[in-house]
Amino acid sequence: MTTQQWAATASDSARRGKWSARVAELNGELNALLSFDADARAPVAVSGDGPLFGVPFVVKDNIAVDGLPLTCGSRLLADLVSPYSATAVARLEQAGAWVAGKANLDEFGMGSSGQHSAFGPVRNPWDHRAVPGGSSSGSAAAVAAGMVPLALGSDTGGSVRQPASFCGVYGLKPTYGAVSRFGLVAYASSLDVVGIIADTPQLARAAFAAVRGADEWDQSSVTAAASQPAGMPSKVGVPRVALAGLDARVAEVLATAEHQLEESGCTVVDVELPALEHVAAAYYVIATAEASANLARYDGIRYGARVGDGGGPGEDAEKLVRATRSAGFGQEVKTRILTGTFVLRSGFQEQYYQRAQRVRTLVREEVERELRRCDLLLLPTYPVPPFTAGSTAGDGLDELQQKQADLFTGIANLTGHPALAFPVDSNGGRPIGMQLMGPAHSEEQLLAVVERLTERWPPPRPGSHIGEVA
Amino acid sequence: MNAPGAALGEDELLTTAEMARLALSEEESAGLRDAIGQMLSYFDQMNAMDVSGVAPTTHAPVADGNGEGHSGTAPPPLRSDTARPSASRWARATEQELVARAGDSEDGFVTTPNVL
Repeated sequence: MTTQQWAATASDSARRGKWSARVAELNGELNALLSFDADARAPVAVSGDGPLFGVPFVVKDNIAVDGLPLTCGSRLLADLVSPYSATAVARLEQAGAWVAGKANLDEFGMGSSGQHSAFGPVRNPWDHRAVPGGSSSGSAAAVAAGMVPLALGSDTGGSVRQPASFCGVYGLKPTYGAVSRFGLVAYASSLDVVGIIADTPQLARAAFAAVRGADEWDQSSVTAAASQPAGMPSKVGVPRVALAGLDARVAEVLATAEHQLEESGCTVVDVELPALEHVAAAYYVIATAEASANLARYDGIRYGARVGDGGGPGEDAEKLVRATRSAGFGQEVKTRILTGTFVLRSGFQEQYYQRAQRVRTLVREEVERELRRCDLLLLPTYPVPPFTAGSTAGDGLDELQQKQADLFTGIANLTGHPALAFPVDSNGGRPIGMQLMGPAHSEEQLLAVVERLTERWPPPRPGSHIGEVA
Repeated sequence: MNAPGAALGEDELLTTAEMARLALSEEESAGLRDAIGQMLSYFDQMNAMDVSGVAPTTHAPVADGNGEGHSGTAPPPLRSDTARPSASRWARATEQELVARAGDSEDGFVTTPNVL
């Protein structure tokens, strides 16, 4: 559906009713949304101001929307209602879009499968046995199923791009700092960015144009001074050596993407990124270390559910904090907090945390070197297609394997560069996407290239797509 | 792709949990020891990389981390240095509303168990 069609649906209560009923039906299967309200924030007129006028969007539930819950997919924050909106949300609203609901996620953004929410797993709209990816699992599944055309997510190590690829939609991880994080619940602050999931690259472009730029409420945010050329790049690099362990189907789809780029006038060249082998390890050391500090704030005192007695004389505050955190956090979050605490302990810091920071430097230098030799880099989003949920047998992956597989996405978070995941092949119902990575603030070019590829090779939609709801 | 699993010592796990302010059940501990031990073994693979003399990167480079000719960013403006009510950014939120979001409150204050 076009922006105008969405505006027509959004401003007509009978149409909204039909749409809402279809969303509820689909969500019963997918569990993508934690809340949905087709009426409360819908526009009253069929036309109005802003390039995104009338477009409904959902917001990953670790991003604040005034008056709506902010659960982060955690029992600990199950009853927390946000008193303010994130800057990215407010800017989309200023551009005419409106919030239709909050999306399910892996708890606090920790997971690549959509199976780690306290509010139940999310299913892939293409194949309910497959994971939708994570941690912006609900955002990606909702867009793929056509519930809404647009969603906000967060990307710390691939959490926008990997679910977008698994669900066959577009996922933009902007340059670190390009989008304000005011209102995003912090996971790993040197890696976190607010990202966009959309059903077309054009919509992703309009949404990014609306949210980008410095914000006085986030001192890490910046405005890119120079605009990037929006034409086709002449040279695209593919890191060969690191691709040795790639699943055969993913390798095939990578070759398809290379062919499409060549057909579109680009030269595809081999590049060397040997440090890619250590990206996932360095990423998880840094991410868990930062998470252990960021999540220290959940003590049951200031917000969220409190477990144990609330402050009678002689009560032990420390006991309350421990009881609250132990009951509130899920297993994956505890694993990461403990791992992060361990790598920061004196005696282990040099071995893990400081080494990871040095590896991060080498990764950055390699990427910068290759981006001087070519315009953009082409990478798979994930080394295997969407895997089967709840199993480590067959094509299932255990928790460690899932983390090790974050190498192709984690690299852009370690270096801060922008990357755009785009669908290439439906792979018989378990979509495979690729990603383009470019210099800082090259989002416009990434979107322009993908727009061109999409025009010529339009990606298919899942069978359970909501269709035309108007 | 899997690293050989190495369990984390029970004492090490308990000390770490103490620091992370988590109380672990016995059942939980066994699973966590395996999971964390496997991750630490995996992290050890970074030892294969020579990082001597390499400076650490502590934050994602924004303004200058992207090679020659690619960047061009302006620093964000600082907020104006003027006094304003603490919740003025959020039109609907008052201090009372914020306090009401705490685990427990009384007369407009957040309550805690005795800490002294």
